[in-house]
Amino acid sequence: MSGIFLHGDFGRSLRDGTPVIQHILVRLPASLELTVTAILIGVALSIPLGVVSALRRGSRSDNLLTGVSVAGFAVPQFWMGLMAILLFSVTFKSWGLPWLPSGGQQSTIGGGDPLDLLAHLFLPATVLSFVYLSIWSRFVRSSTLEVLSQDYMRTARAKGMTERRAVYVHALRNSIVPLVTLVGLELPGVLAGGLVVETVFSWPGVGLLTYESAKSYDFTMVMGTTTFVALAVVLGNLIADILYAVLDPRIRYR
Amino acid sequence: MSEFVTGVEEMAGAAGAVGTTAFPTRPSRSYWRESADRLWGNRVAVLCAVYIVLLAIAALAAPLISRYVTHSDATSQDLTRLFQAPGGGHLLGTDELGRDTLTRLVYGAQVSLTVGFLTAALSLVVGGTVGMVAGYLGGWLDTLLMRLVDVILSIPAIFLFILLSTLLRPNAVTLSFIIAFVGWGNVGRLVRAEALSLRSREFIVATRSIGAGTVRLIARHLVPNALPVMIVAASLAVGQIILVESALSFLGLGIQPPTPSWGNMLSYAQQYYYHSAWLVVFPGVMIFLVVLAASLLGNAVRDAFDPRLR
Repeated sequence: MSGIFLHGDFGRSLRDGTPVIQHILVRLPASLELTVTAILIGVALSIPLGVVSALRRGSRSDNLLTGVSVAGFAVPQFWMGLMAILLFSVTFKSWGLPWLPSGGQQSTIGGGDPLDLLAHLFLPATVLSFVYLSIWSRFVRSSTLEVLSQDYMRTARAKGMTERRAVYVHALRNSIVPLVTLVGLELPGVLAGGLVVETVFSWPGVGLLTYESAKSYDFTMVMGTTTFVALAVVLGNLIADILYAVLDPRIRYR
Repeated sequence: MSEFVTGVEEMAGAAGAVGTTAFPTRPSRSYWRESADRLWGNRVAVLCAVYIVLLAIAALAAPLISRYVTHSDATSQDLTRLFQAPGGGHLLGTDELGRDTLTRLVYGAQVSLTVGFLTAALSLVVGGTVGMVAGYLGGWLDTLLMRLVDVILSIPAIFLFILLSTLLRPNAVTLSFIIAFVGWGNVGRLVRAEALSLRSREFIVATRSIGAGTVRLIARHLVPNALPVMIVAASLAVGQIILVESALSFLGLGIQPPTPSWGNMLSYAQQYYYHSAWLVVFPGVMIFLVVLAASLLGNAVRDAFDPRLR
C-alpha cells in the first residue's frame, strides 16, 4: 500500500473513477500561479513596509501600519474577496469605470492573452496576500528593530557609514533572512487561504477541486488533495530550511 | 539551638525594620492581581472585553430580541417582503426569503461565540494535558506525542476540517470538536515547552523529593505555573477560531441552514450582490469586529500576563 502511495497512486475518484492524481496535476498549475504570486506580493511589500516602520518607530506611518496589520489579521479572507468583487467588479462596472473580472483564471471567450490573465489574477492574489502581508511586515519590523541595536550596526555607524548605507548593507540582509523560515512555516496557511480564495473567485486550482469534491462527497478525492497539500507543505519547509542555511552562513546543518 | 532561633528572629526583625523605614517596599501583590491590574489599565483591552460581553448578552437574549424588538424568528419567512432595504419595518433589512437580518445576526452571534470559546476550551484541555505529559515525562512518550503534533500541524487545517465535516454533519458543538481536533497542536507545543522548563526548577525537584506522585505534581504544581501560558494561548486562539468557523460555514461545510451563522448568511448573500449589497456587508462586519476585539484582547492578555513576550 505504501509502495503504491509513494508511486503517486492516490486512488480513484468516487465520482468518475479516474485517478485522483490526474485531477490534481491538471489543477496544480493554477494553484501554483495564485499561491506563488500571493507570496511574492506579500514578501515584496512586507519587507519595505516593515523596514520603514522599524526605522520610523512610533511615527504616524508606523502606527498606521500597525493598525492595518491588526485589521488584516482579523478580516475574513472570503469576505474581503466578496468586498473586492463588490467594489472592483460590480460597482466599478456600474459606474462605467474600468472593472476587473470577478472570477476564473481567464475569459471564457477570447481570453488567454497576458493582460487578460493578469486582470484575472490581480484580485485573488491581492486578497490572498493581504493577511500574510500584515503578519510578515510585523515580523520584518521586529527583526529589523532587533538588528538595528546589534554591535555590528554600531560599528558600521562608528566607522562613518551613513545611516542609509548602514541599513541597506548591514541591517537589511540580517533582518530579512529569518523571514524565509517564516514564509516556509506559513505555507499551510497560504494553501488553506488559497482554498477559500479559490472558491470565492472560482479559481480552478487544487483548493476549488477539494471544495467541489467535498460538496459531492468524493472522499478519495478530498483525501488525495489533503495528502498532496500536506506533502507540499513538508517539501516547502525543507526548501525553506535549506535556503535559510544558504542565505545565512552562520547556520550549518550537520 | 534556641540561640540560633533568636538570632534568626533578630535578623528578620532588622530586615523588616529596614524594609519599612529606610526603603518603603511595594505592597505585596500576587502575580494574578498584578496581571489583572495591568489588563484593567489597558483601555483598548477593556473596550474589546466590553464589546464581547455585550455581544454575548445579545446572543443569550436572542429569543427576547426576536420576540420584542424585531418581531420575527430567525427562520420565519415572509415571501411578500424579500430584499427589504435596511430601515423601515426591518431595521437591517430582509434576505432572499424575507427573513429579518438583525434577528439572524443575533442568532449567528450564538454560533460564533459558542464555537469560539468552546473550541478554545477544548484545545486547552487536550493540548494542556498532552503538553504537560509530554514535557514532564519526556522520553519516548514525548517523542511520540510531539511527532503526532507535527503531523497534524503539517496538514493545512482547512483541508482537514473539510474532510472531517463531510464525514460528520456539523452543528455548533460538533464543529467545535472538529476545529479543536486540529487546534490543540499549537497549545500542546507551547505547554510542553513550559513544562520542560519547569521540570528542572528547584521547587519541582523539591516536591518530587518529598514523595509527591506524578499526577499530584502535575495537577498541583505544574498546571498552576503553566497557567499563564495556557491562558495566553487560548485567548489568542479565540479570534482565529471564529474566523475558521465562519469560513467553513461560508463554504457550506460548517453550520447548516436553516440555523443562521454569519458565515452561511454570507454564502447565500453573495448571489445578490447586484441589488442587495447590505446582505454581504453586515455579517462580514460582525465577523470582522468580533475577531478584531478577540485578537486585540488576546494581545492585551499576553502583554498583561507575560510582559517578557511583549
